[in-house]
Amino acid sequence: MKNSLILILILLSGFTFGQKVSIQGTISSYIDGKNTEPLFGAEVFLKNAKTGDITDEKGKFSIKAEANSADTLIIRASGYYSDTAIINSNETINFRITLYPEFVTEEVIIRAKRDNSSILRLDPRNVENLTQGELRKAACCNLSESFETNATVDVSLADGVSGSKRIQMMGLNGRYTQLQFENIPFMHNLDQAFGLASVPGTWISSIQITKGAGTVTNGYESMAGLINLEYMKPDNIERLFVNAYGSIQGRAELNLHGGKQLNDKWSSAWFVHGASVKAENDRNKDGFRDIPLGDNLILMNRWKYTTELFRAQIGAKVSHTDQQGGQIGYNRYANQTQQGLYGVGIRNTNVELFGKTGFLFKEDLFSSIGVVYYMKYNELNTVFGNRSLDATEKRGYVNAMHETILGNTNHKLKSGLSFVYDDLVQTMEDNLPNDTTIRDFNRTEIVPGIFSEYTYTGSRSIVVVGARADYHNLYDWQFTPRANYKFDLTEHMDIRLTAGRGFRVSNYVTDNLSLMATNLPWYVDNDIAPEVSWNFGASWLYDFMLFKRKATWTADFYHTLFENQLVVDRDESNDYIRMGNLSGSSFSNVFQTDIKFLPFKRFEVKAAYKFLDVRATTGGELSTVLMVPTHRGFINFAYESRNHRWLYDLTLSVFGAQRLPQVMRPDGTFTEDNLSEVVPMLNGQVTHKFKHFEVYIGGENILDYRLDNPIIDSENPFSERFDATRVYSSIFGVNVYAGFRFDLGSKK
Amino acid sequence: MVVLFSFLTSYAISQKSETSRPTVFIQTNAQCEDCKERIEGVLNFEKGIMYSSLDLETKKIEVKYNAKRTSLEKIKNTIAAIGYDADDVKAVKTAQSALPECCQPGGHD
Repeated sequence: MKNSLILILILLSGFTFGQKVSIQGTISSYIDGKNTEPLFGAEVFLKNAKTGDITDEKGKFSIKAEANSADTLIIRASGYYSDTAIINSNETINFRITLYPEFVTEEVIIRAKRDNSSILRLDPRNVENLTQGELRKAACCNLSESFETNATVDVSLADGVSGSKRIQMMGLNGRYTQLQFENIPFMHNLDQAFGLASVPGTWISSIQITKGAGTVTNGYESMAGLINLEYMKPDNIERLFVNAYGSIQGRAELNLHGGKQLNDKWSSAWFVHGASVKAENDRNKDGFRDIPLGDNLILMNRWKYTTELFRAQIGAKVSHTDQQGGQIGYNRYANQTQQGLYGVGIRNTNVELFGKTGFLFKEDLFSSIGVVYYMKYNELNTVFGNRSLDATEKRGYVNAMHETILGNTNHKLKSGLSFVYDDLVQTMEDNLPNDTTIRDFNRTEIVPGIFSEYTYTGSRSIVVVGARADYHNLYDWQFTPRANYKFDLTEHMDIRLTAGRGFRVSNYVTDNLSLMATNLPWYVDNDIAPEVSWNFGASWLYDFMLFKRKATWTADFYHTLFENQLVVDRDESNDYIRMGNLSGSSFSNVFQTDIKFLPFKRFEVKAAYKFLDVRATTGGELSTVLMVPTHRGFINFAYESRNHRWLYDLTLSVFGAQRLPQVMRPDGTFTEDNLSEVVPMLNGQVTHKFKHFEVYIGGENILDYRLDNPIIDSENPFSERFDATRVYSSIFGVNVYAGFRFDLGSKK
Repeated sequence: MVVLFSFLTSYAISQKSETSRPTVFIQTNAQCEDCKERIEGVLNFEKGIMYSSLDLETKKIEVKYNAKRTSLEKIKNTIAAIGYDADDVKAVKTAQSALPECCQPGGHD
């Protein structure tokens, strides 16, 4: 905390009166490089004298204390980094202190300037924070596109016909990364396949990417890592924000949000997202839409209630997607036998309700109780030619957590209870040339759990040890221990270690939905066991001066080992896809290094390289996992003009060769090129700002790299050899987009 | 290509230095990063101003502007309207008192 003391601006005024002095001041909350706002309800107290106050609506506090007694003033608020100030004056003191939200980095705290992505220095875990500035480097469209200027999370097309994207972390499919919004886990089961598209990019205020198993407080599911996103908050949102976007792909998008502080307790925000693709695109002339047509409407409304000792939030989000890919002219709602076209129809309706309540205690300033609630209803109907899936899911989640200190703030303890209810009804129907199967896959999970996490904060190190025990109605007791350690080697260099177990109940249908884009039958073993993994990692961070400006260099290595996994085996046979429990071994070793520096003023360079060794036993042999590049790198240049009104961004990503499934062609020959080409992706964007308005124009895949023949046997989409799963790069090629943002600013 | 081109043109424009586009230094009484952001945030979006940059050590703000579209007087008045002194032009009192306490005269003493 000594660094943030630099920011404390102490005003000494007045004189001493008798024995008592008055310690007063204002506490404000950091918003961005330009703005702060008074922080209401922050606790301010003297450590030794044990007297304190809570800030009022203007952020003001006042404490009477004995003169001539040295003491430490502690300032604390839920969701913020605590701060301290040394008091050894016998004068009336007037403090002016800015507290920083927990998702703001130490770097920001020190420099109080725009910094779009950085490692959270104070966090014992390896957490990368992406702010809005970073997210806007890629103006389109939703959560799956938010990782464009980031090497940790890789995004690729899931298949050649549905247009959906999948993410990968540490070379492992996105399902091994736990997704959560504002610390509420979401995107389970049915959302696995298309859920990322239901989070519009402009609604997100920041994203935190944690590598490794993470904390135990939010469940047992994070195996490779954890991605948390924060939506815009009602008490800190623009009065009105409008974003319109259009691209030559024929995608049009409109995003609106706004909010208002209704009174000193209530604030509210609303969000609207509408997107539509109406243009038929078929650049490779294979008769298939390169990008599915469709409509997407997402609405959200949220409310926040704040008083001195009680906070509550409640919100609702509704999302509806209806898209149609496949052969040109396909219409899902027309008679199927008459049109005789191969089509991909995805209809996904999702209703979510969420809430949070937090209690603070006047007599016990260091304790709090937080309860989060989440409910969803999800309906998914997909068609891939002659395969279809109809599914519904109802999910409920409650997590109650008590947070307190043991003796002093160096020892913190979080403990709590959680409860998950998940009811899944799925029917998958295959009418393939070689296979006609109807699979009913119904499951109800009821999982009560208990967890505890202890954090020790020393002067140079932080230790976090946590464990949770969950009783799963189908799979019995699950014990999940996790530990994190951070050590500051020097003021500018620290190392982090992590180890932990992950547990996940797989759903072979939705986890592998993109494999419906082939006419190979699925052979699914009986008694699929849940997936269990262990993750071990080490990371290193170094802050130094380069070109007289601050630079950061990080390196990390993670090893994920599966005890059991739902293995998708395409090596056993060319005639079917086998899904079953792991027999043999499955692991991922990933080394990544990132550097960020400013060679010139306002010109930032970010570069990263990643080496991935991801293998699993398939077809009886330990082989490299399909669709994972061994080498991956990127370099991003960002330049801001002297008057901050022009922003330029250029990103080159390179995906190394990936192993592709060997597929039999209709003539009986096999594909020989079972290693993909190296794919370069060049993206650029220019933004020009006006007072309340900004316009942007950008290009994706500027080098126009695309697959000429992404689909095997596209002429006979109902034949047994049709396969659209060998897609490792863009189908569409270069895309140009433009749009504007209008921002009325936030006003109190 | 578009990116590169627009990058080059804007660079070329900023290199052009004629008397019709003078650079001036105006003495202000800004005190902190907050003040700097506030003044630059307004000036950079004013008509005719190409860029502004405040040096907190000297409290002088460097302003490059297009003399056909604005004038030194106008710029000083704009700074005064934000609540800060600009050379001989004194800060507008109402604007000054609307600033956060820390940014008012003496706020950092």
